[in-house]
Amino acid sequence: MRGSYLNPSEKRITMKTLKSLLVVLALYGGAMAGAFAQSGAPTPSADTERSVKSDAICTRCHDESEQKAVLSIYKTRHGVKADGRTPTCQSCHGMSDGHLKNKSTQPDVVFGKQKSASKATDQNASCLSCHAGDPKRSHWEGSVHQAKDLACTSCHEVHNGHDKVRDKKTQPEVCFTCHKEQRTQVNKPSHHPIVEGKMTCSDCHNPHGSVGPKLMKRDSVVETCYTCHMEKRGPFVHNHEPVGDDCSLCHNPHGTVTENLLKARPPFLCHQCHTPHGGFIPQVIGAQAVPNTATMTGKSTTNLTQGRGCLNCHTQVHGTNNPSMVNPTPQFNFR
Amino acid sequence: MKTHQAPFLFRKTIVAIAATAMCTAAFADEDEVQQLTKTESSISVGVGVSNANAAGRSLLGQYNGLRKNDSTLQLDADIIRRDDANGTAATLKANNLGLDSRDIAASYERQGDWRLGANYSELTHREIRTINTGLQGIGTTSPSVVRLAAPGSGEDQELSLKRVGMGLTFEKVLSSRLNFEFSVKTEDKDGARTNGRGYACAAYVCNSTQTATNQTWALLMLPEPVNSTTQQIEARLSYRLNGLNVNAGYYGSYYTNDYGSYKANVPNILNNPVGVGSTLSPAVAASVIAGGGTSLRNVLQLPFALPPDNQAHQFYVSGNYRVTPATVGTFKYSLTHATQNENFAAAGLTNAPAGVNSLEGVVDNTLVQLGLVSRLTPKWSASANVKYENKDDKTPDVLYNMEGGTSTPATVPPNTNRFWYNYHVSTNKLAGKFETSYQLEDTTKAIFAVDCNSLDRDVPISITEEEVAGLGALRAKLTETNYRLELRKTMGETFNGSVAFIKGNGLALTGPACLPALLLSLRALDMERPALPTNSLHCLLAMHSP
Repeated sequence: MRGSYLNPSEKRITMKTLKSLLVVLALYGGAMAGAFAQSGAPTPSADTERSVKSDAICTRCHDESEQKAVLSIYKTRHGVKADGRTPTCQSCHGMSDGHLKNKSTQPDVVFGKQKSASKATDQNASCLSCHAGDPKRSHWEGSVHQAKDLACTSCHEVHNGHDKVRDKKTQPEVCFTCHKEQRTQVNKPSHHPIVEGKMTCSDCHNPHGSVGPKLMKRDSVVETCYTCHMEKRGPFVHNHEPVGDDCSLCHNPHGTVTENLLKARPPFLCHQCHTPHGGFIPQVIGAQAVPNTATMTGKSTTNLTQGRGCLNCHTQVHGTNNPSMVNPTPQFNFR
Repeated sequence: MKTHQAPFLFRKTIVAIAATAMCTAAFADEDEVQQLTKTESSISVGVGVSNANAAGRSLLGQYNGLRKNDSTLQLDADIIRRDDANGTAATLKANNLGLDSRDIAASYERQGDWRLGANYSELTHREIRTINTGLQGIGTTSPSVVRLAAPGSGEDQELSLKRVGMGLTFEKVLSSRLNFEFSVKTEDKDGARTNGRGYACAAYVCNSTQTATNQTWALLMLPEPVNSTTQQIEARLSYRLNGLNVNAGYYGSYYTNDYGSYKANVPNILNNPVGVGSTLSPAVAASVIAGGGTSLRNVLQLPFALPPDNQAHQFYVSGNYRVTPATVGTFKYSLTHATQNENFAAAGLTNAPAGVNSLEGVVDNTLVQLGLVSRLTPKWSASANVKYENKDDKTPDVLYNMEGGTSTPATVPPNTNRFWYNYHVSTNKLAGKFETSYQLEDTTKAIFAVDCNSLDRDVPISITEEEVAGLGALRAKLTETNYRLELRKTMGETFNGSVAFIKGNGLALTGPACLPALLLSLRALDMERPALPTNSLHCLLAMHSP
């Protein structure tokens, strides 16, 4: 007999889901209706004319026959000419007077990673002349990506209508270009749903710089993890200190071969800090030094590593809010 | 970049631009240019068929929505409508609409003025194992253990956790100097995940003598029911003035759990490891420990505490300031006030100390960060950064656990007549970093860095308690300084390497220690960006000497 577990509350979720979906659709419907009502045959505005004319200095040569699509920048946010902040070609590449006079001379700013490209700081200065005020980039200066001379175009494809790094499904491909260890980890059996396209690197990291370690999106590892796993925050009656200190002490968030993204399998993970009790393992420093006897107290009996794990008894390792004084008391995160 | 040397060829671009400039109709040949410059939309529809059974794809089907069904609708959409005249754009992006891992996001904006966004997502995480059990009421707060007559004669259960998330964002450019952003995000999580309870009778709780008919230990699979909601709200003002960019905001996060605790109904006879019914051990008498012990059955029926409701409010100011054209300072100050005051009794948790209704937990976090980055000369750069974090746990101390006195000295548990306060720790952390680099030539850079960390933590556990608990002692103080000397060279567009010498001094409870290390790393980058691992070179060689 095969049954599929269905939480009774799932019925409520279905209704919530439906309501949420309706709200989203209503919002979007209204927005699209408004957009379409205003659209129709595009009429170039004065700004559009000004920009296109200005760009023509460049596009008379750099046209649709370029190996890398140049004109597709008009598909992107940098091509919305009705936005007064939208740059022209020369806003980013410099006035490039020398290049205009002599095609063999490089433009003032050449983006990319090739040898002929401008220095990363010069490339980035061009982008930051507009984007420095973005709150998400406030800590670019001093960040590890900046210190390692990454240019914005190391990750972003500015001329491409589909900038891979700004798409949740394709962003990891871009990050894994350098971060190969993480690419291996996210393909391990226990992982966050990154390869499934449901999470992406920038859900946890801010590649443009942050106050937190490892470019964490929030100010610390735990604060970043709490954005989804708030139930671990507590504070509890009985806290487990490492939980509030750094989740990555026990978990590798990118993926592991041990369930729940644990770095090692209990009991050995737990034994990295705790005196092993229950098992007679004289080889391990701090472990029980003598074999079990019939009169040993409960915590030292062999059964306590039953199932080869500490978590069968210490069920609430992230902390318990159980105030009970009844034996077995929950102060060691028993329940 | 490819540059053509014949600028007066009659190119389609010139025609198109000239035509646009004169406001005339586009030529027929403009199609290619249109294709390159106009936004594109796409809808993809397909049918997916899986040729293995659900169990066969249990591991790979944890998240992708392909675990249960043999045939699925594949429906994605990426639609954008942009009005170039007034800069408005409406977008709709949807993925996996035919699966239970669907998500949909929509936005409507006038670029440079305002933006409204909404998103909705579902994600089901399926436990990789199919569990055959007699357990009833999985996913509720009162599951019942039913002993099976024979292994495998129960019902197959597939545990899952379903997340349903929804978010709204709004951005408004208030002026050329002032921006406002607001976002709210909520996620419901429902279902059950693997958990369980094991207990081996201690001599002062239940009889610890195992016999054929007296079962002194048991291990039960009791899935944890989940029915909770997380909510996040953030509002931020960004202001820029000349070289100053400053952001001030509020970030609130709230956790609400519909379930406070769960407890199982357990029969007094469970199968022992060879599948034979065995009676659970009774409580020890009052002659062993004051008030008597607790039977194994009752221990297994004690409630599990589930995560309590909690909330945190953060106020912050951050930003950067361009001191000179070559020098930028960064800063952040944040204050976070987190509380947890769930009522114990309402959560189904009894036996709290007299007069104590909730933890009344309060934790305040303060963070201060200051940084300075300067390009001293075109080839010489330096940066310094300091960060101070204070975690002040203001939760009141209460004697939550008090062990009764013993009646029979022969079975004295080690912690008789002892008591414990609730465990909480306050911490001060200070981290500083200085790094300077010099560009020796275009592809080679020399770097020298020093980073220092110190930690000061009040550890409330006494050595005696530490021994009883089997805890490794937490470090109350830690100071470490690391030095790094590195030479980095870019050898090609996709190949670079570095040699580094690192030396660290750690000053902890155990005294000073040094750990010099020589690191040699070579890294090759993918020219293209594949979705799957490739055979590209990436190696790190390290030498350590104590």
